[in-house]
Amino acid sequence: MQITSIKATRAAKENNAVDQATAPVKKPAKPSLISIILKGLWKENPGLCQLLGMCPLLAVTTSAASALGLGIATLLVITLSSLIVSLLRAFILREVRIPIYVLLIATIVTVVCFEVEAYFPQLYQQLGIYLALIVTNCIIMGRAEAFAGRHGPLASTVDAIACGIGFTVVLFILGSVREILGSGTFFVGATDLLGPWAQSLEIRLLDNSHTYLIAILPPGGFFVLALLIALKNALDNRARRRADRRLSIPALHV
Amino acid sequence: MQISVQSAKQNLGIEAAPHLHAKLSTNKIMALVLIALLPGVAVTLYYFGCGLIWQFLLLTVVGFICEMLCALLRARPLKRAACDLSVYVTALLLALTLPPLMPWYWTVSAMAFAILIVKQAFGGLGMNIFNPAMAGFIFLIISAPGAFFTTYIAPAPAAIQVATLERSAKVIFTAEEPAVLVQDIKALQDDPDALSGATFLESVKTARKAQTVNAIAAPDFASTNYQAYAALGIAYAAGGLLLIACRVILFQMPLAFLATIAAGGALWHYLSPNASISCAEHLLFGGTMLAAFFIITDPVTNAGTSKGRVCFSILCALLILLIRVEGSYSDSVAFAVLLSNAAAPLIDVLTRRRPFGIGYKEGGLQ
Repeated sequence: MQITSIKATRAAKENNAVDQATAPVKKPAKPSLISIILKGLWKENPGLCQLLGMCPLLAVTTSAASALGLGIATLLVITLSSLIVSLLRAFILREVRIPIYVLLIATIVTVVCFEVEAYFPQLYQQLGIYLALIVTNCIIMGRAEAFAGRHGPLASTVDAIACGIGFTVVLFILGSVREILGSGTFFVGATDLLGPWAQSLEIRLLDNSHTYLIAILPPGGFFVLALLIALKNALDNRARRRADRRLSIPALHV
Repeated sequence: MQISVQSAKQNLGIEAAPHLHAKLSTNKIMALVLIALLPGVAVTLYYFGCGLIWQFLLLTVVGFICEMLCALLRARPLKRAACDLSVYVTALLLALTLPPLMPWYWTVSAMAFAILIVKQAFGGLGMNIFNPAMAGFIFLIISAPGAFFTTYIAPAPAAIQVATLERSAKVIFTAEEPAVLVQDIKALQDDPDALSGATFLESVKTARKAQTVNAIAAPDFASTNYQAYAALGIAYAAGGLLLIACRVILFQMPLAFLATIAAGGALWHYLSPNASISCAEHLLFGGTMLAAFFIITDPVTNAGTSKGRVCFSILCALLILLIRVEGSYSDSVAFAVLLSNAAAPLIDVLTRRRPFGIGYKEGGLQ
């Protein structure tokens, strides 16, 4: 009697194991929208943490206006592509997902490219090849592969917007710092981007003989980006140390 | 009774064998380098005026403040940072390479860049990949090429009497035009209008583009126009010999460096006289002599093995020739030094010494 019962439990255990093996892989807990936004904007910022899309990040950030222009274009493309990928994810075969993503992203980039060329010809000339090169930007591919292919349309769109805004902000800060140091101006060309009201935003901060030409050259881009990353890490470390200190019990350190 | 390693170190000051005692500490080496630079400083003062003193003071103050700031931020002992002489070596090297009449804000930014980003961001003394003085120089020459062009002094004998402390201070610290002082010093030369550019290499640069380097008259190093360069070369060599005698630097390094420049320059000049200046001009103009004894021999940023250091010098010399003849800046020493600094870890790997007993051929040595 005992033996049979043991056998039965064993069989039940094995059944359980088989069930677990055949059952679909348990989905990770659904992330909340707030945490998605926080991740995209700060914790996993594409410009400062994931270090994706370095080519446009360094190449077009010679002025704040062109950086903002490229940032907005990227934001547009990443939102549309994430939305479409997450809607179509049931139909996309896992084996050929990358070519399909590329095809989708290329289509969207072409549309955005024509839009910019038609409505902002000045900006189109400034951005040059980098606008068309959004198609190869790793952030868009990365979000499609890492997030949009596994989550629903709402979460994917929110994630794309958060990441896009995070990237745009980094581009804009990098562009502003490099423009101020390198050409002594701030936001020149804003009128091409935002319309005539932006005329008042264009300021000259430094005299021409006091500017650091190196800031607009590629090494300057690397230096400023490195300093921004260092600043972010320092802020994160400080927050972590404060949290640790709050949790620690003073008496234990005797 | 068994003494644990930890307590032995704490109580007795015993370290693991071998118990070697180094006579030269880093600070002693740096002090020796500073002393060895004195002949060069004297010659520069005589031929280029007192701008050097102001530049050095400015660089020293900025360097000291930056070091203190980094020591505070990294919670290191302030006293050690204050006693560290290497920052003054960097300051003096930078002061010798920058034009003597550079406006103060450029000098300050160059030193801040050299110490904060090139030296301390990589971990401070002994950890920096690139030579801080040369990196600061490149930072300036890329950022402010115009300032270099206007503030460089064409050297003349007894320039120290014209460019006195007050006059140089006026140009460096107030926005007075440097052109007047530069002209006054140039007037001391026998033939002030011999050159079209600010320096010999600057005029060669314009001639190089037109492939007419040969048309420039060969400089006579005994004339007052070019005396300074010959004197500087001798002064740096004298300082370098002192360092070699004190065993601070390997004599093979400057030897390989200067031999490569001389041979390569002579060969290039022979093959295409319209592209390259001659051997003596390669050796004496620009920063070649300073680099040979004081810059490529920096113990931190060159290769680690003796063989590697010689390879490093040869590589640096070849890069100097290449960039000086083909590049778009008038002098190339700083760029070549930084490129070779970047290659130093690779040279280390390629010139690794064979450990004893490994790699013998079958049958032993024959």
